Amino acid sequence: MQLAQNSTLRTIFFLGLFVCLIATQYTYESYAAHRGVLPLSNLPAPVLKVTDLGLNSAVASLLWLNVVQNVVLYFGASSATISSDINAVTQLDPKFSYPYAFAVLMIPGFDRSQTQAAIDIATRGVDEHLTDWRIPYYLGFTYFFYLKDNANAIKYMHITAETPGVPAGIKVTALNYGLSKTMHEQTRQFWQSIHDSATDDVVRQNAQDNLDHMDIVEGLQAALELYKRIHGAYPKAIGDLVTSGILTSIPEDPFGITFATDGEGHLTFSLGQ
Amino acid sequence: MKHTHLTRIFVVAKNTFKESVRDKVFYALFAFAFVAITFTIFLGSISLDEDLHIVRSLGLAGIYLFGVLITVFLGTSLMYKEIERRTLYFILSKPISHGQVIAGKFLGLFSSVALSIAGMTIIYLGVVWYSGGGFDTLGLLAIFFEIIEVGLLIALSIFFSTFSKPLPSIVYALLVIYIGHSLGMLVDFTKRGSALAHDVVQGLYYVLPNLEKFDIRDLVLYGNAPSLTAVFLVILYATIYTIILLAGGALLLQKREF
Amino acid sequence: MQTNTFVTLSSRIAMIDLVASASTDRGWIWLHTHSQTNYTIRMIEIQNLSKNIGKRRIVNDLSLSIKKGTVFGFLGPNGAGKTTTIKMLVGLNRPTSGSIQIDGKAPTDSITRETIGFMPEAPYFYDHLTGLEFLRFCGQLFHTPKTEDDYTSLLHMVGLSEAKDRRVTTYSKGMKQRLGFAQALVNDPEYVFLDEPLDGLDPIGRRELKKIIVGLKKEGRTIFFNSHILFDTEELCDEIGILHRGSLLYAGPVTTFTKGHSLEEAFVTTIENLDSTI
Repeated sequence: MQLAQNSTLRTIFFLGLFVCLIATQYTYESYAAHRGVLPLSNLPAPVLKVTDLGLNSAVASLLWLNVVQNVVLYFGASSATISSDINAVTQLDPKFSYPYAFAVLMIPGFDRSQTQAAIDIATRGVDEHLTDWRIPYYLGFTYFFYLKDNANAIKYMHITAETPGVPAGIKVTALNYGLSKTMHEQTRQFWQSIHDSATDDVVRQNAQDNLDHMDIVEGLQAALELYKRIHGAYPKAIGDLVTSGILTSIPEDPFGITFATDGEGHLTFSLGQ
Repeated sequence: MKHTHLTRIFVVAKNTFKESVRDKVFYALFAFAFVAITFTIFLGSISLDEDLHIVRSLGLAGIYLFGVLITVFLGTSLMYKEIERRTLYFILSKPISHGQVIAGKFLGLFSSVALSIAGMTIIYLGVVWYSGGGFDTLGLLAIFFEIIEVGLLIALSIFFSTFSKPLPSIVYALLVIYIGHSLGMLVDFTKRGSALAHDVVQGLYYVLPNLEKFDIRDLVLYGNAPSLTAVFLVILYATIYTIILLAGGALLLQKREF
Repeated sequence: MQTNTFVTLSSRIAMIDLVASASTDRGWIWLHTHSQTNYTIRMIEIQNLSKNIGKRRIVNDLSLSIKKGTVFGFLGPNGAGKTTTIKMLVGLNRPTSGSIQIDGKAPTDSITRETIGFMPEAPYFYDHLTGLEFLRFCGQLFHTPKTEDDYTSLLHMVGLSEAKDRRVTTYSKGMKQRLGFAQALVNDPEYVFLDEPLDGLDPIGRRELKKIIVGLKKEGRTIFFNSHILFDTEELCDEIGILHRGSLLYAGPVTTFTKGHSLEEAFVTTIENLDSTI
């Protein structure tokens, strides 16, 4: 009765309710963060295929957007989900070519244990006879870089060179595979070509990060050698390079790797602090 | 102007068209579709340089889903509302046959749904052009196939609505749409199973509306077009099926007690 | 106004001949072209009409003959089978057995319905049409089209001039009744079938509608109406039929039935006597 007549009371009543509402939502959010949700992508591709009214390519597109979000937002966090998502994308829409290439280039970088899964995806892409040179090129690179498998790397580099529409620069790099003096030089060549040919920001940034990482490692190794030439022995700790004035600071690695040294001139890597 | 059989159908069609385009559901769904198609621009922009693919696949799917939704919502209540609200008394006591009423109802709803799909197509073409895809001729072909399918679905909804309430009609229609899209897959599944199951599914495959043939979205997405023969067969199939459903609906309406 | 709305008798007959020429039934054309002076052939003829819905018998062995140019009141309590009968008369439903002939043709034949007007009980309308749009829609379903003037003057006659461009959803019950009446007259029908025409109208509305019915009769039209309200219907009718539980109790002039009492009194006594004997 009071509530219906008194406008101040009424305002307080509704304000109070709204505060409660917002508090409930807030509590729910912090709770939901632990609980997790079942994403669309947890459904296997055959199930999606049967239930999507023939809208396969549209569902594949949505899943692809899901992958992109996972990659951008949780970089390297849920690699198993990403590979199973891309797997679903390629099963729903086998002619959508870029996900194959993206998978085989990016997934091993997040999680080495998913390397074989990524290679399986890209191999299916090559078998689909898609005219996207990026699939065999990235696949060959992954064989070379992550698995040190020369035979397969050469095979896919040849397929790349044969793919219609492959850019001249890529074709040269692919055909010259194995001719570089060191593996190091070969790797740098690949990352550089991937960086230069990429149209997508995530892949280009990733290639850039790899190139930066190589620069940093090479720079630190050179600094260790220089320290030995000046002081007669390798530094005991990586910080000695700074205290002795050789480096102004230890450079920050794009992948968040922390560098250390064993006192005998070798760099050691560890993730995090 | 003397009124012949055709003009009577046209009069009912015009009335149905007016009724449906003045329905709020129509505008709500249209607004929804408009927002959805425009939103694909944003989705394309976060797709790692696959904008055009995203915009086209989601745009074509959006137009299709809108067509199916509006068909099922308006189509399943089309005849039922006439019967339940007794407006059919006005029509059937005039010199017009049950078949003419059904045909007019079909043409009226079909033209209003086709008009709204045409509206969305303009938005879609704009969005594709904006995303760098130029004029999407193949997309137009896919939408044309969608319109043909929607025509069949309208006939299906009208058929159900001559004997059933809207809610069951919606369920029946969605079920047939769902099965109609899975028939090809079902036949494949049962190939491995028993011969009887395979024969039953094979029978259904020929009797139920086989809707997969109207889906050329995945085809045109990669620059392929169906052959002229295929286009002709698909149109013929849809026409025959639509006529069967409408004639069946007219027969059921004639048998019905008012 | 009235001459504007309704074509003259001779042109009406010409119209019927036009309709008949569309038929392949040559004998029928002959009948009509030679019957212009003989009105007794043109009538509503119901013979042994029965109707079952499910297992229930709604109309039982009904035979009636209604002369051209008369007003026939079909009376009976609720659920007597009046509406079921009128639906068969206008071709909405088919009889289980027996026959209906209007001018010698079954109402299920669409050509017969060119000359019929029907107003359903408590009519509903399309939500999104205006009164004028609805009337135009009804008019266009007939063979001979009407002009815009015909529609407006018809709406004027039933008192809906001002509301003609409003959506029917905004109409009151009485206005809907009038619109239902207007659409029944849109084709200048020879035969007008009205299901509970006075139901839901206020006293002024009833008087106006009755005046129109009298006018229609004067023009030589046949009017068949259902009613369960009796006290002001007797003055309208030339003849009445009393239906009770699907069977015809009486058909003939009002005065023969009432025998000096009011119609309502005679009706109630008859029905009560009948019910008490069962």
